[in-house]
Amino acid sequence: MSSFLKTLCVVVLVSGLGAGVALAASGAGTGSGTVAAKAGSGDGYEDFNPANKQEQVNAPLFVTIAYSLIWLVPLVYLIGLWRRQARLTAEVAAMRRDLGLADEATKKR
Amino acid sequence: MYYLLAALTAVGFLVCPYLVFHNAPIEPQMGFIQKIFYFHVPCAWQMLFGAITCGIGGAVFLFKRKPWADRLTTAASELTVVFGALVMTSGPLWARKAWGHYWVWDARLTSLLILFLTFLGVMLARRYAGPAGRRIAAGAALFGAINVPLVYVSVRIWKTNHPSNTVVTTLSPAMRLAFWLSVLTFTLLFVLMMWTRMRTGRLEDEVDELAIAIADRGPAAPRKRDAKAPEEE
Repeated sequence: MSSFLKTLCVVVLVSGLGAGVALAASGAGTGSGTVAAKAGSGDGYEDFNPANKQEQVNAPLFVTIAYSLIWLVPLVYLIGLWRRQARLTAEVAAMRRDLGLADEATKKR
Repeated sequence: MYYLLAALTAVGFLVCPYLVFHNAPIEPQMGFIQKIFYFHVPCAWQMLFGAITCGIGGAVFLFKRKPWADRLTTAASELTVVFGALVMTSGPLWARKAWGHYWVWDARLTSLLILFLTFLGVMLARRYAGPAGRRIAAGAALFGAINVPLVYVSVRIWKTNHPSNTVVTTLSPAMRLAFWLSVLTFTLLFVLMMWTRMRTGRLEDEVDELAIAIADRGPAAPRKRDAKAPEEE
């Protein structure tokens, strides 16, 4: 049951990631994200102006990258912890079994 | 309770993107890039909260030697590093658009980098410094937590490019709803991660204790060769 719930949580989180990425990426269509850089003088060279350079940043792309990282990193961390917990739980059970055998052997001696 | 928390976090992560990208209006001055704010600030708050928790755990471990305090220090240091990494990747992406640079050696950014590196050190010391690692990590955590107030007030003390702490109070109602829901979701995520990490820490301690107990009591059943060994000698 617990593994089912964990899987469900992962599915929901991944859906959130997918939906968010789609929404963030759709920001490109709102016209509010990227401000078009000024066109050059037409002689093949671009104007050198640091202010224009700032405007060329693709905002939806940056938001999508930030959003994906913010969703993926905790998700990967949590899945890693869950897997480690499962491994440790199995290890504890095996060691308890060994210890039980060791206790029996000590009693026999 | 644990699964209820996990479910609530998952629901928050589903609702948040909708409110942030669909409901909250686009900030006129910065445009679409300002959407990073809704994730960047909650992550930064969790990072600072993690650092304070780690410091408290470190202090308790140094003065009382409680095993749970060591587990708390370990868990909180990892979470501080995880959330710190998120802050330090989302922030520069926003800064690139807002300031034209990914990074500037501004008081807020520099103090936050120091905080991040301190807790990275705590995490590494706890993991690789051997038996003394617990005390080294606890001491360094306490030292790192002292930096938290400095990070918070750095924007007031020094002139910085970074927005002030009061920006949250100036948000419009739609932005405020998305922001506070995001804060709630990241807080739930923090508690969930902390809970999971503490559980893992308890299991790790149990494995260590059992390994010592097994070593003390000897092998479970002596093999024939082992039984004959004293006679051969």
